[in-house]
Amino acid sequence: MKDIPPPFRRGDFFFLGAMIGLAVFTWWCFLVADPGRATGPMILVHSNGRFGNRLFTFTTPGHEKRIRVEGPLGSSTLLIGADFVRFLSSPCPHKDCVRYGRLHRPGETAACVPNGILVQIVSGKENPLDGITR
Amino acid sequence: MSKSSIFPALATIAVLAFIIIHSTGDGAPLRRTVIMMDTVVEITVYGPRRLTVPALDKAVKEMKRLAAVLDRHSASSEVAALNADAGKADVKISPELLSVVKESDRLFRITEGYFDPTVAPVLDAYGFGRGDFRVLTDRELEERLLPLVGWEKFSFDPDHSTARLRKHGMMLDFGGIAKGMIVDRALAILKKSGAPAAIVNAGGDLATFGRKPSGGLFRIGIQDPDNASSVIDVLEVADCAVATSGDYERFFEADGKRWHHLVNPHTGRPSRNARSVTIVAPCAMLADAWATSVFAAGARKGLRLAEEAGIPAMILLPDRTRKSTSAFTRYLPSAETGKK
Repeated sequence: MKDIPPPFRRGDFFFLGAMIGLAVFTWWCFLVADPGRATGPMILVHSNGRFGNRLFTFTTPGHEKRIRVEGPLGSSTLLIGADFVRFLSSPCPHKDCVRYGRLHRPGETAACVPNGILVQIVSGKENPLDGITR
Repeated sequence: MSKSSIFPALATIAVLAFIIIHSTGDGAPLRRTVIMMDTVVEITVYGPRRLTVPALDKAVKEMKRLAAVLDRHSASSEVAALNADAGKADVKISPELLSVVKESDRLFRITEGYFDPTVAPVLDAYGFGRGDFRVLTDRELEERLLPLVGWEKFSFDPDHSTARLRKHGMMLDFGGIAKGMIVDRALAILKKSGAPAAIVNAGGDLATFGRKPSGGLFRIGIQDPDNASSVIDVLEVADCAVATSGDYERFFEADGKRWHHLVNPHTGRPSRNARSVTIVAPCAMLADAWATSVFAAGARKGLRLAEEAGIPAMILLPDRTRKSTSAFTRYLPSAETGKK
């Protein structure tokens, strides 16, 4: 009578282990590549100028930091706190961006349109609103 | 394949499927935020990345192309060319501009002239656009500016795709309709790609199609005119568009009054008996134009016009009370209020 081979050989376990390891590693890589998903909300700042796209973290409680962002009109300054970000100053004529005030929640966006600067709180968490009409 | 290799093969396929599903990010919507048309445009599209990435690129490209055609402040736009030839000969116009002109013509008539793209000379005289704001006197409005306003002084020929402003000094501004039209075009591209759902929001003029993967409707907050980071209500919508016009977006203050850009084309003065008007419509072009028109017409007349046209509308009055058409309330899931 012919022997039925076992479903798994020793080498198969090594192969399967390697594949699971690869899957976990890939998953981890994508979590890190999408920081909002892995580490909680972050601040995405985009400028049409040389600044490009950059991510910033919120500060620790009791601390604030200022970020200078160069746009086509000049420097805009952002103020970042433990749970907010806002435009502090901008060289635009109407200062709508400064007047907008603080952004707190993931998905919230403020922009200095004339100076081509966009600030957004990004996170993997679902925003309770899909859009704002204004 | 031998029996001994079936299980490892199946396990490998399962692991690879896991990697592919998680690495493509198909579970999460694709989002892009860009600055164009003097505003922030946010596009969110659901579905597999192989469909949504190229579709989103195409939609943004088309939006930029149309903005360049319809923006009167861009010297190379078709609208700028039409304005420059005011009082002269007919000008050949593109199918895109013709479609905006045709819709403007229809809206001018059904809104009793409260939607009128020829109000541009008045807006310019107030300083909207360049930022050199000033209050206009009654005399300059009556003698110099209002004679340049009136859609009936604009003619177009749909058969030959031509148009003409009949008086020198007249100007068109499709700001009250173009953004909506551009949003609709972008949404159509996303829909054609096979994506199951999307939302395109250009500075508050937004349109949606489909439902979110959870099966839920899109939840849209209406901005509080007095606090940019709060909403006064939340709408739940699907396969339709929402737009809001308010006195808090473009304005200056003088003589103790707020002078905003939502001007009544009949008087040349900003309409003062509303803070904001929110419209739900089948497409963003209509929502955009109706929001402008109802605001310009004022609370009572605006609401009547919207009711007669079957357009769901809600007006926030200066005392923060609300008035709405009968069709509007169905988009309100509750009396929800709160921060964004």
